[in-house]
Amino acid sequence: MSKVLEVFDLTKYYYHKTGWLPGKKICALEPISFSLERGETLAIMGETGSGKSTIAKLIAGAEVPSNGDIFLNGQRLDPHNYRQRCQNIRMIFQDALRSLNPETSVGTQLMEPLHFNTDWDQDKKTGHVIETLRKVGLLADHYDFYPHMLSSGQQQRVCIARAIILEPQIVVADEAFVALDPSIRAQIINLILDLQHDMEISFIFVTHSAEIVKHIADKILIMHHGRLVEFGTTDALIKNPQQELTKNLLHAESKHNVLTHSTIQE
Amino acid sequence: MNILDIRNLSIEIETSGGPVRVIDKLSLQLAEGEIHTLIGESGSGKSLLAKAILGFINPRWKITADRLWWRQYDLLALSRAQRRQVTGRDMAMIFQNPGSYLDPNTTVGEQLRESVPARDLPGTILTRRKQVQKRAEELMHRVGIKDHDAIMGSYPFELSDGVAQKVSIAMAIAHRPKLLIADEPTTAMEPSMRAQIYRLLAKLSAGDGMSILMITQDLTAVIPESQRISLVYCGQLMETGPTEDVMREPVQPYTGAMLSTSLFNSDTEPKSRLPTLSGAIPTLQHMPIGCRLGPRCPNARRACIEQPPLRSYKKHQFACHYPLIEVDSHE
Amino acid sequence: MRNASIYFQQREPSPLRQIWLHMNTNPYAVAALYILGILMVIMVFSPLITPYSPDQQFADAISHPPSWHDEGEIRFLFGTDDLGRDLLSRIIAGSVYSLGYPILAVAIAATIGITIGAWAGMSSGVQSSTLNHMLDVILSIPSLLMALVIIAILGPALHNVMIAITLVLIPQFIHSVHNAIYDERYKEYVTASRLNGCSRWYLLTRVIFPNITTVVVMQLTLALSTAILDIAALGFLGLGVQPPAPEWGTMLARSLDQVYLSPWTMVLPGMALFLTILSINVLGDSIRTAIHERVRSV
Repeated sequence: MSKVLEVFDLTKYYYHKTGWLPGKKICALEPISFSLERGETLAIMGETGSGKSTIAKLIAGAEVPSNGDIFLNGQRLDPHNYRQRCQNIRMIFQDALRSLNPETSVGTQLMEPLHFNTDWDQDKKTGHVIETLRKVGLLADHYDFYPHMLSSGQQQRVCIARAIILEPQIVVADEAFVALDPSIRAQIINLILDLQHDMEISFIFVTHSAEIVKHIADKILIMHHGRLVEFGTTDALIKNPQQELTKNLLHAESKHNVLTHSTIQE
Repeated sequence: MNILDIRNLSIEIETSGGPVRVIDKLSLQLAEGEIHTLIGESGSGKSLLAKAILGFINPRWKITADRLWWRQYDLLALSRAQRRQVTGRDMAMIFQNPGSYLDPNTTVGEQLRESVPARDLPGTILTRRKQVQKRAEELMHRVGIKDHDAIMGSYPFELSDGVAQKVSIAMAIAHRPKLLIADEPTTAMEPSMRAQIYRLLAKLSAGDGMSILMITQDLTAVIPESQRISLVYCGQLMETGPTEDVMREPVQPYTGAMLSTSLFNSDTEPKSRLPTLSGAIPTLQHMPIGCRLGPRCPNARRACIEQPPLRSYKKHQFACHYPLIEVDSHE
Repeated sequence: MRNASIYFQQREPSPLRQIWLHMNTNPYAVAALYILGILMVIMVFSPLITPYSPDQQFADAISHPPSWHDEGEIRFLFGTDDLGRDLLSRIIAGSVYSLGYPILAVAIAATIGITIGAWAGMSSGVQSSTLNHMLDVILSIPSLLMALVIIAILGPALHNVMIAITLVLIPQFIHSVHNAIYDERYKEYVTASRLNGCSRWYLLTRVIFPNITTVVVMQLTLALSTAILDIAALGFLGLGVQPPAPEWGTMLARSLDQVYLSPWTMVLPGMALFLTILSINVLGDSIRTAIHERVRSV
């Protein structure tokens, strides 16, 4: 196991501007350092405004950090070099429909990353797009579809396809499961677990659902007001939480203990 | 006694591709003081049902029902004005995004005072203002807002989601409704806030004998205080019954699937595949005939192209030809 | 490979075809399309189809009423004016001035305006806000007034009118395109494309631009009707196209003197102007809704 991602003193400030005066500095994320190993899953939890989405966006490159460095396999990532980053780190957004271009077909959108990051010819690119669509449980026919013609689960699958099409090492998901229906959510979680198994992807996801975290995360990072509160393996944090907040976040739900049913087959 | 009694309610919507039956022969009974949770994924018509009960009816909808009774009133037979009167007096609703249902240009206090009905205030018109203010403060306290002056002076956008939801609950209970419909009241909230709102609703129901129809997407949102649950899929009733019984012994395959996907049990192996229904929720234009779960159901067989009748098993009622548990057909 | 025919019954028509199908459901839009199409054909072939030269004067037929009038003659279908010029020929020839030149002006203004607008929309900070505030000031002056000021400086002539109209239209294009791009560029799908490693050019032309076509179409129709009206208005005031050129606005101005004696010299050019602008507005409106519907319809 090698460290695929290392984060040192990552910081993010915003300037809240009022009128002509220089703005007030607002700290969204205080210096934070952590690392992630290949094939591991990291869950980031916290309340609203705790900076958990900021971390995801900084790692994926959607925002530029105010300070600090991100190293991928020991190599520093330049915050303005999207090409270097997108071959290794990809992002899945919360709202699948909003993160897809409404005026462009699914195939063209999936072609985009290939167009800018590979020097393959047209046939190879098309073949790869169709292969990726199959991998996420869609059909080759979906190539010509526009996002609004798909159901919410299929839209999320397209987003996942876009995330894995360049065979990245890390996928970042910002609340990717919230907007989905329960039966579809389970399908998407299964899909992500399968992909992780097949492609050895490290997975970072932001969520507030304790159940999903317990199910898929290896490590948990708890945030509060832009500060790291606790970081550790899932086992340790569930069995032996050091902070009150951790306990609250991880045990807030699941009041019913119900027998499992083995009658339903996948 | 059932205060709300719905039998075989169907709603058809006219679309460009012909009429679509969004709600298909749905039955629902609600007893006085009961919390009933209605569970349905998107496209199940659960919000439409709430609108039909409250009478927010679009002329393009065709509503038919064997029975749509609220207490002693037949809601479908009432005139528009009468219906509004009954609804306005006895029912209230809270929504998913409270922030967007409050008037952004008026203070919270103003809106709350407006919702206090004048009819049950003591005193003359001269003392009215004071009475209303007192009642509004009382309402704030009942929903668990202690700092009423600060909240009543602020505008809706200044409030957090949780507080805004509490305010909208306060407005909803201002005229002491007999039925509160809560349409996904906590979907957008954090777990801790969610728990607070649920506790509040449960308390209100227990204290005032107010019935609550809780509409949610997810079995995890079913609160322990909820006496009965109903599962709806694509406008068809799948299973209904006392919460404990349904959770312990689901009969309908859909209930089983929802239970095993939604409630992660502590003994599920981490990173194992979750059991789930395959396929996607059908769109309005492509509803399957018969039992609408058919194409996704693991137990589906040929008979499923006919809609199964509602059958009973112990205290549940369910609609399925091939239930998970052997049910004596004479029952 | 792609096996579309096995189970898929309902093929989605291509985007352009969908817009066409949607427009077809609206009879007014179809009528407007045909009217505008016929006007365009007439305009392009105007030198060939005018029965007479627009400036030819018939001394024997001064102020002849249109042919459907009792005293009318079939050889002057729309009648003649006070100098004995055939009105039909003048209206047909006038379409070049009243429809052709505005189209040209709009095309030039759109090219320049959209380019600057796109550049401004993609830039940020001082650059963007300076431009925005400056445009706001220019836009607060009515376009006709602006054109008048420019004509006052340059002097009344056809090419000056063209320059004035073009200059007046450019800020409107910049403003609407800038705002549309600015609204789109912070949406999630653009961020997603940016994370795909797309170049800025690709981002602008292939990702953002398809989403602001509604705005562009709206602005184009708006600009075209403004341009037609402004050229006609300037002609009417005697500041634009100079007589004897058969521009519709100039013709209206000339006819004022004899409106009681020969009303057709006023009504017929006026009708031409009215029909053109109405059909442009109806058509633009329906194209806009059609584009909008395509994305929204499920």
